[in-house]
Amino acid sequence: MKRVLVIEDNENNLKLITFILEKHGYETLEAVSGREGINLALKEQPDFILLDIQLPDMDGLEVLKAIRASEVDGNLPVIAITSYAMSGDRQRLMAAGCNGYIEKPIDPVTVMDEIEKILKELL
Amino acid sequence: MNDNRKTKKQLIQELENLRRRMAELEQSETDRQRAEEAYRNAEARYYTLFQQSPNGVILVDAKTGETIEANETAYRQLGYTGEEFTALTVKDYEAVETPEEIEKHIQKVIHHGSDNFETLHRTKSGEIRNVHVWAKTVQIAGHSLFYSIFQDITEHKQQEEALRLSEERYRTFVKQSSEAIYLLEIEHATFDTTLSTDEQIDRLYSQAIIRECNQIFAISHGYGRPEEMVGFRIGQIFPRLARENVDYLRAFIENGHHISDVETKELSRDGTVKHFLNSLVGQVENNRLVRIWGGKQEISRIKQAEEALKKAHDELEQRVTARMEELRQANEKLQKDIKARKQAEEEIGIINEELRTVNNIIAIVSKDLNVLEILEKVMDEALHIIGLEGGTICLVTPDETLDLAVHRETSEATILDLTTNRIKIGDCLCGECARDHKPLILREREAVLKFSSREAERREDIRFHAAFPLITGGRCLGVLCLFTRTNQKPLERRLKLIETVTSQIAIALENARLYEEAIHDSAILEDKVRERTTELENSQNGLLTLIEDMKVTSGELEKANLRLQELDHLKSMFIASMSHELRTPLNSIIGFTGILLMGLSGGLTDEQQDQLRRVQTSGKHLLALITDVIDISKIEAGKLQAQVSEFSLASVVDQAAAALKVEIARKGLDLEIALPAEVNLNTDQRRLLQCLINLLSNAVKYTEQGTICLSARNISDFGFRISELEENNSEISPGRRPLRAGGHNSQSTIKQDFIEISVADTGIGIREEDLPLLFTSFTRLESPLKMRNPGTGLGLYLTKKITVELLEGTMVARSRPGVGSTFTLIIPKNLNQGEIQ
Repeated sequence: MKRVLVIEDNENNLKLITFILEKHGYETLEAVSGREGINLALKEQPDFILLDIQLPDMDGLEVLKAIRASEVDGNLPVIAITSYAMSGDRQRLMAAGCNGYIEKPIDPVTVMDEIEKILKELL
Repeated sequence: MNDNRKTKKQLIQELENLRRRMAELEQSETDRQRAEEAYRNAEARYYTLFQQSPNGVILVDAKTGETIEANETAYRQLGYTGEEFTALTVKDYEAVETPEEIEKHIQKVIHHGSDNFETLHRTKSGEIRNVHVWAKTVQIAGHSLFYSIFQDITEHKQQEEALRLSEERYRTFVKQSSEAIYLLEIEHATFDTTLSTDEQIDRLYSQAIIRECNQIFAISHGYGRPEEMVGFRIGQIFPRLARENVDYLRAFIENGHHISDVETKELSRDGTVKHFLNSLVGQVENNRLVRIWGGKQEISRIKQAEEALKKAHDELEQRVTARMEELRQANEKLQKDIKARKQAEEEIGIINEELRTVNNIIAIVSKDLNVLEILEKVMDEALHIIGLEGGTICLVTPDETLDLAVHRETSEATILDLTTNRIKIGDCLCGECARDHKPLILREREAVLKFSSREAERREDIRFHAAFPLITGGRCLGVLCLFTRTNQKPLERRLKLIETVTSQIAIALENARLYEEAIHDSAILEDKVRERTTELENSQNGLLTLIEDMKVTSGELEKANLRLQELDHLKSMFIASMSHELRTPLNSIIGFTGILLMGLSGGLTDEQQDQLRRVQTSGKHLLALITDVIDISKIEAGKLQAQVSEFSLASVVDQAAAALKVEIARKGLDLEIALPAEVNLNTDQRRLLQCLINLLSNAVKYTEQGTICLSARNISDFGFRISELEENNSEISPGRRPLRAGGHNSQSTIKQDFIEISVADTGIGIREEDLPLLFTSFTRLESPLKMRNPGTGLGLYLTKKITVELLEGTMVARSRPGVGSTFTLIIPKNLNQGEIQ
């Protein structure tokens, strides 16, 4: 079973995304802050990460940088969760090494396809 | 002889005795023979009984456990022949007890005389059989024997086990079921199902009582253990007061005594009402209702969640409406304030400029006592403040003529004319001014010509001329003239300002003159100087007061500025907080509704699906609305930047068409797309897509039948196209036809810089008088479709804003009521053309 780390501070969003992932057979790890997310990423070595870029304690970019800095080969897939309003951030995140992004609001019907498409393209 | 001889009597007696004994002996022999026969018969009977008994019978030596005798049933059951079996001891077929235990058990039987127990026997083939054994000890010829009779009860045991398992499974199912399960029985055995429905309902309420129920059932009614609810009448849980419950029982009866998934309102121990989804199955035998099985699921939470969702949604809608109104008002106020601020800023700029000039002039006239130097500097400052190029200052001479002292941009001819033939007081422009002690301001060329009497001056083509007398102590010391050959007209207030400073200049002139005179006459001078200085001071004080006043005004304006900046900041904060505050919970509502609709949390009834879908649609609508408001605010605040990338027109058109596909199909409309081949754009893809979706969505909304046509073409001469669009309404007609590669610019030498995209529909159209309202915010035109189509009144406003302010293009709407509307965007293909070329 694939293990996913979800870094998301909003409890409702976190519950929504982990519920959908679990229903699709993924095992989920949860972090509600950037700091916690980095710790879990290093400790648990998940198969990929879903990262909300608007976190209370630090910028999503900083979280991404910290995770990338700790990797040997830098190929742990990190998918950003961005808000529609933040179109400027997307280019910034892709340039900083995100592997893809999904947009809020999360659409339960299509979100798994989007995630799986991004992961497939990385193979 | 007497002693040895017996009497006859004696002999007869003896003989009689012998005979009797003989008879007795014979009798005894017969008896014995009879007894023997009886015994033999009995033995044969018992042996037959023993052999043919349906139970196994074994006679065992109590000491050794060896088989003495066994009947056929016994050895057959154990799979042996009679001989084989006779060679066995108990331990060979006993499968439970060890030899030591068998020994003990035998001793126990001997001690108690008998025993009765169940054990297992092993057959010759190794099979294990359940048996029931009766054992009894007997003493035969001094031997302790016991016989045991056993019965094979394996089948019986298996059935018993099967029954037990089945019972256990049933109990476990009922106990662990997530549904509340219960059994109703009719108190007085049964009732007739041919009775009328109402009578049956009465019977159910009076006679049906709960016999069994599971934990879930008890808990869902607020009880701890199922036993507490046994004996309840159904009225205690399905109150008759709730009409749903009676309807439910009616439906149960009329449906043939079974029913499923019907909502009921049931009572809890604490009196609260809970919602259940109920199913009942009645057992009817020979028209008698015997018992009813019931199962139900509590749906109060789902109901509550539905209600909470609806409430949250209503609240949000209210909040958004209120916020939108606030935002609209704030916006209006802000626009007004910004306008006022801009005006104020302009004024402040002007006033500051004026103040600086006045200060300069005052500084000049206060410091210098050299007349020419004063006049040179005053000339420059005066021209600077009034914004004109030409000027002169003439001084009144004792012979009542005007002497040209300073000049700017004055022709050689005029200078020569003025110096060789001085103007007399009362003559020409300056003379008239010096005579009347009044400014003479001529704003038109004709007026200048009317007053100008000198040939040289008349030839100068002066279109504005202002002459100010320099007066002090009731005497005119000179004339300051300012003029221009351009069409520029100076501000009235500037002219007033010049008029104000002329007295200062005059005083300075007078002082300078007196100073020069004082070289000859210092005594007179001192007095005069003192007098003039006082005058100057007074005049200066007046000016200083004016300056103070201006400073106060300037301070107020600065405060107003600060407040406006605060307001602007507040607006930004408000938008940011609205974005987060409204969007985050709304996203949760939409997300979780989606999950419920997908059935990921369990099945839903059709009704629930329908209601949730309404929640989802409304949520999405609300989100779109908020997003529009935020976009508009950002554009208005200048905070939205175009994200330029290269993409093909076809790809963005495809995306827009895909977004509306379902809606177009639902209304049975045709969508035609006609694009020129291989158009690549370098602009903001996302925003262009947003515009196209808005236009398509509008077309679909206001078209009941016919075709929606999305077409595009390359154009290069933007100005030409606009006029063409406005003149020729039939230029773009719906329908598939090959588009020329941009009409008049088909020659490939002309560069194609713009793309024109049109969305044409065959809908209700727009009245001509309504066209100007199209692109205003929060406006929705009156139409029969308005009520049916949800809309914010922001779509076209936003689309136009994006087109104009982000994509740097333009947008045109044309329409004929009842025929259709066409919305056309014209945008540059390369948004960053300057940078790329």
